Amino acid sequence: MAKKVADSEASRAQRHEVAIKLTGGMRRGSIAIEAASIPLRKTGDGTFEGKKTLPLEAPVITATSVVKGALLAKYDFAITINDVTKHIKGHIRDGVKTDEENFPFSAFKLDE
Amino acid sequence: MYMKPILVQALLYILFLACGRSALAQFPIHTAEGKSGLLVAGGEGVSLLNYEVSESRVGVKTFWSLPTHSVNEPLTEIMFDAGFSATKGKRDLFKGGSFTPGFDLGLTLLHTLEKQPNRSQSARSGYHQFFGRVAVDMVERKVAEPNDEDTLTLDSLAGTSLGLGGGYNHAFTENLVWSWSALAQHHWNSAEGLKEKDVCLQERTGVDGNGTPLAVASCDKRFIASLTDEWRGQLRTDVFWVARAFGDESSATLGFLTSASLDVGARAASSFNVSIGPTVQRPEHPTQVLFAVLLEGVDLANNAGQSPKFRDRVRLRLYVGVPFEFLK
Repeated sequence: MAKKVADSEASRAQRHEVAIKLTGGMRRGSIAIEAASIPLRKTGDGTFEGKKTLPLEAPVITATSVVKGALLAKYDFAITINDVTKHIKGHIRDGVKTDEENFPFSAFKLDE
Repeated sequence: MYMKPILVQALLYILFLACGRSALAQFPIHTAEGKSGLLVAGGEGVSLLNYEVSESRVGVKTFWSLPTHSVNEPLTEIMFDAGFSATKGKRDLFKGGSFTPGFDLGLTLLHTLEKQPNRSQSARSGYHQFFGRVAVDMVERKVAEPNDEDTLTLDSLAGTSLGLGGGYNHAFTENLVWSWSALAQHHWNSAEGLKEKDVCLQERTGVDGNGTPLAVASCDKRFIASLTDEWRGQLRTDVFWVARAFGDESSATLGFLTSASLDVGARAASSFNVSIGPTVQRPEHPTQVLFAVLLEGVDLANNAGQSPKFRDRVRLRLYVGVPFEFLK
């Protein structure tokens, strides 16, 4: 019975590669998808990039981001799952800003 | 060295492709007789066409860092920057299709420690940043070396410097950063303390219709001396403050930059320099300076003895930084 429950839960959680690209005038940022942080590294042109394969469970994918930067620094998290990209954007006013956004599975063309 | 205009355009295009999206991490401005030690961590690799009243420069930067999971983790990065710049005192990098050579390369290691916010500071806590840097620059120096009382040898030398520097940036908040840095450089063919003079090669002489003597000559600015090698150093401090926005979220921001430096050398006398003035930063990129007007005092005590009048030790520096992204 316990094995059946575990198998059922595993089948609901689908593993997908999540790619992140952070651009803008911010100093640095971090993001967690479904409470799993994705390591970000500064790349050649100064953007932050990272990717990780995570179990994603329907019906929503929760993204929690934090950025630090100076007054009115813009930030843009590009989240790519299943070749579909969604964005978390904004401006920093007080040194640091936290966002939490819920994306429905269908937003990334994932089967529920 | 002559470079056809089309090659100049190709060079700029290549630099543009190499940099990708533009952003800002380091101050490219020369202020108070040196490059500002402010290194604001984060931001994107920058590619700027910098133009100042005294010189122009095309530069690129590229970054690598260790991965982090949280914005409160320490951040270690390496920055490589390169630029082509005009000889100091010459206003144009490309003048009449002619490329005035001068380049600089730098490698900087940065380590940033985030200040942990407490309840009262909340989001306004800043960071501590330590950096070490090695840099080399080279510029053409034209000389007319005296052989004896009657003859001069015309030559073109490479003025080269290799420097090691390091410093500390204290960010009180994300908008206010105070930097301290020290730099030691060895200069080959140093022209420090020397002034260029006009050296003319007389090509033809004659008289005009009224019998007035004429001389046709091609003239060049050269140092009338044998250039030597020397060690030089600089201690400096800089403060940069992002003060306010001009309007809404998509507006530019107003800032202020203050610098002070002490230059010491084995050959030339020490000089104390200061600089202060407002800056305008790019919209949505509050650490990327587009314009600056800096009032500078150079060798305020006239230790070098080259500016006996006080007004000759004060100047206005205008700076314009154009991201390659704007040229699309």
